[in-house]
Amino acid sequence: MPNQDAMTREDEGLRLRGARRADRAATIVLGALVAIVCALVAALVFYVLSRGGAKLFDLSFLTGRPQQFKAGGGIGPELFNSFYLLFLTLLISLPLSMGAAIFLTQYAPAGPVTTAVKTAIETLSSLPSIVVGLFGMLVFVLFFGWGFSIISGALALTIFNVPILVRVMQQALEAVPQGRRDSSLALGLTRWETTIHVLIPSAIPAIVTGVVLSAGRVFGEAATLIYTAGQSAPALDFTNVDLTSPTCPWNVFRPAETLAVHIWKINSEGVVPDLAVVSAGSAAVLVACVLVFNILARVLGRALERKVTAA
Amino acid sequence: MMAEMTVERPVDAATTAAGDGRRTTDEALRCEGLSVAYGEKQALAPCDMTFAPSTVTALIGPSGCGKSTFLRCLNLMNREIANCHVGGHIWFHGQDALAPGCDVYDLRRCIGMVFQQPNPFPLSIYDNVAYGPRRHRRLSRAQLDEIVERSLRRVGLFDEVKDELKKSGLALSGGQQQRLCIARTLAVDPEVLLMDEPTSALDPISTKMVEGLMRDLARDHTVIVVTHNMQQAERVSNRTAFFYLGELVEVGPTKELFSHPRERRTQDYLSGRFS
Repeated sequence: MPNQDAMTREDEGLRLRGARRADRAATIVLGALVAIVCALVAALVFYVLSRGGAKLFDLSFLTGRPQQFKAGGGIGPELFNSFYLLFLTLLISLPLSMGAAIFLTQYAPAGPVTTAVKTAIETLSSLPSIVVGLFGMLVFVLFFGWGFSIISGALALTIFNVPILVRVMQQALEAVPQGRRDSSLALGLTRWETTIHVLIPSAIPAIVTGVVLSAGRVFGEAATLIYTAGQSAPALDFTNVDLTSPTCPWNVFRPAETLAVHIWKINSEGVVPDLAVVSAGSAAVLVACVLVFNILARVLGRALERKVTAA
Repeated sequence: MMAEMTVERPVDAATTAAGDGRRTTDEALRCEGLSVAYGEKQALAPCDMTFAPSTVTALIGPSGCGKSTFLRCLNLMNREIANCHVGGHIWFHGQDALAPGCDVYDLRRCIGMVFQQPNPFPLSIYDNVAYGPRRHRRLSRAQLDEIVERSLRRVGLFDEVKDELKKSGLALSGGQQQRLCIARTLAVDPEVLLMDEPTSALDPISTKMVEGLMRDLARDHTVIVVTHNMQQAERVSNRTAFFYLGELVEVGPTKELFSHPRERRTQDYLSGRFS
């Protein structure tokens, strides 16, 4: 029946043409969506940098003291506090989350308890940061009596950061080919030796990328810190090494306003005449730092990947 | 390393193991009523098999027939799978590997395993081979160099890579990677070598090399290889075991099994009537 054959062929042709048209349409729509996202990010970065970008190169702004009433204040202590808090947060949260991720992927028996823990971690990672901040105030600031301090802030930020790090590390460890792990065990090595010598080196590029990205998030976090690290930045004296003195930069029991909190504070209750300039400058510095973190994450991740995989 | 083994080594070929008197001189490894279940589901019905020293045994059968499961029991890799229950006995040097007191780490050192996908560690070629020995005992640099060179020579890789031992193992070709993995296993000096479809990810030339290597290794190792390639089983093995639907159907000298299978199911499989 040649007639029928021809018809099926025609149907087939129509179907193919339809599929191709749908594919073209999807390409255009997806491209447009990506363009919108890119435009949003670009506009935001451009706006922030165009308003405060000049301050990025203003050394007296970057290192100067903030002013209460006069114009011309800087963000020196805030910038230092942001980095110091980030450092302390990573110092606490890295070993914690590494341990948790190793346990969950390598040791934990599959069962209701493990599932519950994994769900808990996921829930924790989507907790609003202001809730984490208020919890931190109740526990660290009031219950332990550490007051508004760097240590309270760093611990609150740890609660904020650990769930994300655990997930990143869990995924990185799970992405290591099963055969690589089995090979190590088949050589008569223990799980711990396998983890230390095979799994972590294999997963390190992904882990480093994840850690640096999370550092960007921590660096820009404000809500968690408002009620834990406080909103005041006492003047710092870098020659002071007395860890109990409030002017010693390394004293973890002193209050420490960070850059992100500073932006929030001057905009909500600032009285300095140049608050728009200070705020824009601070925002530009913050965005620049986060950008640097993100670029660093990519560069480091790729470099490690290359080091681990190839010649 | 030999001295620290808790697994008993044959002192004299004529000795039989103390107590049970089960081991004879011509067996390297023997399974007795070995069965595997994943949860409630039985993956391997109880089976008995003896592996003679210095032989290659091929395990054949369609996918999911239990041959890989069987292989992975022999060095207790199944212990890594939750829910997996292994029953019966695996006699190795007069000791039951499945008995509660058996040290799984020592056993795995004596019964090495090579996997289907070449999977070098993300380390240099040298460190890949030195990895096992380094973890197991203290070695001087010279001793380690010696082990690495001997293991790489054994798999015919040394001359190909001797100038670039510092290069990542992952930068080698697939066939070289697989030989590197075999060298890595040989470096801890196992007696038994389990190979789980070691050539299925390789090109024909590399396959040929690895097959030659299996024959060569069988001079002083007991080699047990799972393969989907029946020609390969014929080429390399002294004995062949046929598994079907989680059951060991028959085992015998390779030539015999291929020319005169006793079982109807073996005959059907070999002639391609089912797969």
